[in-house]
Amino acid sequence: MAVDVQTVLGTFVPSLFLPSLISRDKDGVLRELVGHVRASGLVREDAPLLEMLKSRERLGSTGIGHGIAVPHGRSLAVQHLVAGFAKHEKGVEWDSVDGEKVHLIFLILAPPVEMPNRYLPFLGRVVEAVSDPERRSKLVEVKSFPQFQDFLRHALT
Amino acid sequence: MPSRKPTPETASETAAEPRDPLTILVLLQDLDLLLREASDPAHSAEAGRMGFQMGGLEELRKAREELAATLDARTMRQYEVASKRYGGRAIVPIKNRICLGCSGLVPTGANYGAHRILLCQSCGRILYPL
Repeated sequence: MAVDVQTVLGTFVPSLFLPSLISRDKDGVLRELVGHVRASGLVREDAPLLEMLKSRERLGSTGIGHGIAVPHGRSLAVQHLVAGFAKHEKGVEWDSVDGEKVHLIFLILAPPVEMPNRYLPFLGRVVEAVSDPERRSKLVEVKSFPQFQDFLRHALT
Repeated sequence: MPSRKPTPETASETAAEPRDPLTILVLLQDLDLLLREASDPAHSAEAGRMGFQMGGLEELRKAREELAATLDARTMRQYEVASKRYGGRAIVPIKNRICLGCSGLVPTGANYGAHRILLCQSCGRILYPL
């Protein structure tokens, strides 16, 4: 199914706009992200979520190159499709496909079952939003959630 | 004593705590779902097209077996029977005393068993409080 721009915008949670992550490695960043998910009241406990994201990375890195990672997965701990965006100024090793450090991170979480199933199409839209080099450079400059929403609106319209 | 408000910093503490059987079951079901999706050629091809790497299937299967081995035989059997019966959804959320698998009402007096595992009396699924 197609996921429209409004759905993409509505799936990103304002409290999961994190412009300055502080962790020094991939596991630390995942832990930091999951901590924000729990602090936002989106999950009751963080252990299942953290383990699921680590398992996904064990399957294969979610670093898609050009300084971008999209950690994602389904977990029973999650009630509905949610997403967050984070930045890491210094960059983190992520075993990315091009070997580059990751500076921009999209976190995407879904329950085991959705009606309708938007998880994979949503992932596709996020990847589409950062596929253009010029657009990616604009994303680096984003400093607030409204600016991030503007970025998505322009990238996906 | 009031509960401490969760913060990103405390996430690492709780994630490192010893796991109870219900948490292990949830991890197991999440892992089984990930393995199913990764083994599905259409899903795998789509993820690959997006740039995601999927080469660690065998390593993940091994991790799944190691995780399963930490559960006692009875709990594991309950999980496997329900998983087979309900297409991989052995564990479902319970919210406001409603099993979100079958919409059955869970009685007020229903107790978690010795292993903190509550089964829905209507459908037999394992219940996970959201």
